[in-house]
Amino acid sequence: MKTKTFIIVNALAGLLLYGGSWLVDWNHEAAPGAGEPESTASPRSSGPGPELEERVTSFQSRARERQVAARTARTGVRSRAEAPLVPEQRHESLPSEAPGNPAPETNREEIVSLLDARFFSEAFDPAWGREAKHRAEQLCSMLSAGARVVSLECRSSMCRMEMSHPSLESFQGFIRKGLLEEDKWDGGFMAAIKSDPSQPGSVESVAYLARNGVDLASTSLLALDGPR
Amino acid sequence: MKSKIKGVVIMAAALLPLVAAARSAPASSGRPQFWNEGPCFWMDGSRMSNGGPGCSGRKSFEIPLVVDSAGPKTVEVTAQGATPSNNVCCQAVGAFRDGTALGVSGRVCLSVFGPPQVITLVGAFVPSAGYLYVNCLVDLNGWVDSVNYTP
Repeated sequence: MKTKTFIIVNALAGLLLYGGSWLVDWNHEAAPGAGEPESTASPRSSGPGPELEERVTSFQSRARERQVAARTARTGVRSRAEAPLVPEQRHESLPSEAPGNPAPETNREEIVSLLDARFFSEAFDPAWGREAKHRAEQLCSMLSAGARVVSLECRSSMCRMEMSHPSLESFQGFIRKGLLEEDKWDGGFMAAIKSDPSQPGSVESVAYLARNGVDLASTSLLALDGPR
Repeated sequence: MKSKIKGVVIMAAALLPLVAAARSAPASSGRPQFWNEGPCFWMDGSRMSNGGPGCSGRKSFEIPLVVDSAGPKTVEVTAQGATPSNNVCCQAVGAFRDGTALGVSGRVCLSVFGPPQVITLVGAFVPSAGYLYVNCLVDLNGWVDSVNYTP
């Protein structure tokens, strides 16, 4: 009888100890910053866990490779294969960046280069070009005092209008009054400052006025920031 | 227990990109471009209409759209107008955070009147660290219902 009681008590104590250690282990793993590596599979794990984990890791790895490849192709100069997928220095003011958006900030020069490359490689569509240029010229009346059109040319899918403004506010005012608030242009557009906007008196800008139905962003700028 | 939690976490990680594939916003998350026109707009079931007392003519309404990634964006606005004089015309705008560059869709109006219609806007471009919004010009008694987009 005594032996039986001894065995039962010992078994209960063992179970309690095991349960306690399991709880401590689980809490430790659930705690933020727990250092236990995820690669060690738990003997209790069953079902699709490891397979799913592998697939997720594989997707993440492929996404990283594609990102790096896209950047390398874009810069064409230096490989970023070893660049960390974390916010770059210019984002230091932010505590962290969303994991889905690790790309460095798009710069205006890249946009202008891509759109210029497309524009200057286009053929002319005389009929549309003439009519579009006439409408684009009407936008000039929206320029503020001191601003002027440096060049204006229309080809087959867009017009390219280069401008000079006395200030950044003058550029923004033209965009707002001429292209956003008034329906003076029937398509989409892209516009960017080309020079340093903090230099008053010499703010150079360019606007690409798309033909109605032409999507400049998807057809020309997709290389900048990946798929939709 | 442990494996179940692990399974749930892995499943969530696998499904997250699918969940993030589309987002919607009610029109009531926006506001009039000119704040003094606030009384002209009224809300019904989170849809917004230009039809307040003493108001007439076309009013401008803007809805900010939270994005998770840079790139070209397609925005769908569901809007309604009983007749062509109750039209709604929208335009999606992507901008650099300092306003020194913009990628803007063409402005598209309702072409069918009566029941709610979807206005599809293509051509907006959001650079990394940029932002996105949709602007709608709403005629008297026109309605903006909601916006759907890929964040």
